[in-house]
Amino acid sequence: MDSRGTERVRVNVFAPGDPESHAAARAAFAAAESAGKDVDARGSVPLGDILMIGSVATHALAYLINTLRKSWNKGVVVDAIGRQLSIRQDPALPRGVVIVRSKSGEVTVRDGAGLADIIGGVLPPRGNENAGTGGPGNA
Amino acid sequence: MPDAGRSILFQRHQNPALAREAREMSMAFADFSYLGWITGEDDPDRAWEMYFARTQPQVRAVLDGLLATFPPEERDQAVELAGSVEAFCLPSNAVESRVFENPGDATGYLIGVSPLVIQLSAEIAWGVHMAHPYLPEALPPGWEAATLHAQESLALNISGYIRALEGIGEAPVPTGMISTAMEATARARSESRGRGPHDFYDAALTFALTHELAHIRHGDLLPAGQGRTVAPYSEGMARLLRISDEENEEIAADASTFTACFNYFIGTWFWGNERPTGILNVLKRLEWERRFRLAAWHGAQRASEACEAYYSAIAILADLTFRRGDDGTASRLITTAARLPHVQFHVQRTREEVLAPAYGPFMWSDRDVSYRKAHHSWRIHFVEALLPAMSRHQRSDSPDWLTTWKSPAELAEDSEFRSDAVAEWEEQAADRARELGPDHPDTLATRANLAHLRGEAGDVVGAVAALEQVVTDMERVLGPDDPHTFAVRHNLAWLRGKDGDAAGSAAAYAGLLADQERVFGPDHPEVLDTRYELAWARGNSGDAEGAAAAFADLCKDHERVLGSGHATTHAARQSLAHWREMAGDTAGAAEAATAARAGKEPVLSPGHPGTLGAYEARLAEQERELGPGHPGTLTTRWFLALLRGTSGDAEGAAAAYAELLNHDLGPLGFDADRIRENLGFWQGRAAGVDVTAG
Repeated sequence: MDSRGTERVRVNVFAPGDPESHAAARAAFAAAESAGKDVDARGSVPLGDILMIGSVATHALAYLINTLRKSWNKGVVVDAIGRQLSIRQDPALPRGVVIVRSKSGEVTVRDGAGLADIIGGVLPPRGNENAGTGGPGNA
Repeated sequence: MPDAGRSILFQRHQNPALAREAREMSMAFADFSYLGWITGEDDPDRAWEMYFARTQPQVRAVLDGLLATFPPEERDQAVELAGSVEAFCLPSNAVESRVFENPGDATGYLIGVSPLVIQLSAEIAWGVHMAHPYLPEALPPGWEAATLHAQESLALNISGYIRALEGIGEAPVPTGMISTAMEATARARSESRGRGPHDFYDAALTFALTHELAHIRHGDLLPAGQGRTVAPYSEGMARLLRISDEENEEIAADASTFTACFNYFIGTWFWGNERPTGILNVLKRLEWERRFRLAAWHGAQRASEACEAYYSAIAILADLTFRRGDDGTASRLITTAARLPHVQFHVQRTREEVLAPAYGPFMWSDRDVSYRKAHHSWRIHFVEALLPAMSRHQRSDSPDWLTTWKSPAELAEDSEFRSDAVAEWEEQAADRARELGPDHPDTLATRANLAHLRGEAGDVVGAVAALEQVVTDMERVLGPDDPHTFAVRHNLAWLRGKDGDAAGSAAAYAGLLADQERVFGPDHPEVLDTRYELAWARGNSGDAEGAAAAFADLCKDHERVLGSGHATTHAARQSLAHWREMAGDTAGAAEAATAARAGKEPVLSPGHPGTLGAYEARLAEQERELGPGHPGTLTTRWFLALLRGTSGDAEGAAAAYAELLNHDLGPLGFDADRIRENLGFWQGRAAGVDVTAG
């Protein structure tokens, strides 16, 4: 894949807790030439997901999401509404569907086609203090 | 902007970098639909800021309080944790709290607690507190009617939460009973003595936070083998009970949560109540001692209530997520809910064996058993009556988690457990005899336990023979009047009865009774217990009249020594009714049965046999005095519909729902469509048709 460009964005991936989905998320990070750092956690209620924090080149982000879309059993939600970008599986969505929520709250539903344009459109503008590599856990 | 997460008590020790990263990490978990709903703010960043600013001081204050009330010998650990732990309320509708090592540059741990679980736990604890008075005899006349009203309010309140949680962003943010009470009593907070609505909210937050903090204190997040967990069940016992290592760690965290919460409540009381010193302050010191014991009693109750309510909240959320089709989350929540019997066992043991000797016998009494039953009754009501009636999601299947909810004692009745346990104890008995010697008290106790287990596993003849030998050895080593020897003789007499030797059992109990009365005196609980068993053994050996006469005497002595409300007094009354019936004294049996019923559980709860009748009478009275369309009457009719349905009265439930539809249900916030669906369901049931819905 194309590895040109150096601008990177912090991504929080909430991978489902089953070993296959977790492994798929690791593989997706690797394919996007990044690494997702696992945040090992415990809870009084057994946790259903594993938070992986990664720093991904902006041009590889759509590739990462598309890989997750294809490998997870249910649909994927990309939440860019806040200051950080989060990706999680939604058990209510059918497999292969991606929902993208932009900063303005606009919701877009996609399969793989046209994902790159949509993702590019929801990324925070260059120079935003919270959008880059700041904050904890940039792998 | 002021720093919302700043520590007050540990300002010098707090790590500002970790606090900043906690703030950043909270954003990673943000659900902006939830934040918009809860804050009413459209701008996502402002919504998050508002939420963080509102919740963070509460969380940090409780974390500070928890650390500051560590026992003195753990003060160093408290200081270390003050600089290495930060906590925050998860800005989402997550049903699980989590603790994790900070993934950023600052070293430490972060805890995110679920706001839903805290809010729901607080509502349930406060609601049950209002609906089920702990000391009804201390209340003014008319408390029964107030309790009935409080029960309806609790059901109505939780039904509001069910609607809201099913449609976050659609249904309005719930304004629960506790929120209303907190606003009403804001000025009287200092006078609440630990029993005001704020205290219940604090207790719910404290319980949730303490549990996750326990994972750090126990080292559960460290690599395998490096943890410091002191598990409540030994490795062997956990294996026998089929409890995994991780589950055992969770039970340990829960069990230690009760103690840490208690320390927090009693410790924070100390801050505002310094013990008077000086020779002239004797009377003030006595008064302080009295209030200190009261604070300890309230502290134990609050910690227990928070624990019970937490698991009720988990049960509700489990059912809600299951109905929504999220079986994975429901399964995780049910796994958690299934731990409750183990946690209750450890809470009771702590209160009986640690707190009662330190503070007094009031730290665990039959009232606490009754209160625990009331919580359980409500838990069942929420899951089996309220959720099916109020949820907009209906499923034909449902998780049968109530039947898998087993206490350690119930798990120990499993035949596989028993045969495994016998093998385990045989090994232990051999080890102890080899290491400690055959006459060591621990060796003798292990042999006695092993014999008892053999009897439970079905080998009663072998168990009797083994116990006879243990008794002989104990009398030789410990002496014939040793309480341990008496206890084993008690078990031997019981096993003889189980073996079919009723006369031998009665004779053994009679001999034991004479010795215990000589050593302990006539009013000792052990003596009363032996008299109880002796009376049953007499009856079983054919002397029903003798058994009835013995129980008549025993009832009087139980009431005199233990009180009329004590559990064993109730058991003696029930036994008296039974043996009078067996002796042909029907009138006397009815009289004793009435006395047994009257003395038991004076306060109603959904599972109480007198509740349905009380609400039928309340409805008739309200229709007469308020009219059929009054919101109070409608609330009672709705609650009665639930109770009638639970009791199997399908026609009655349908009639109540049909009548509700004749009135304006808007003031109650009910969805008329759901009421219609309930009507259809119960009409179908009445007609013998099984339909999905509640």
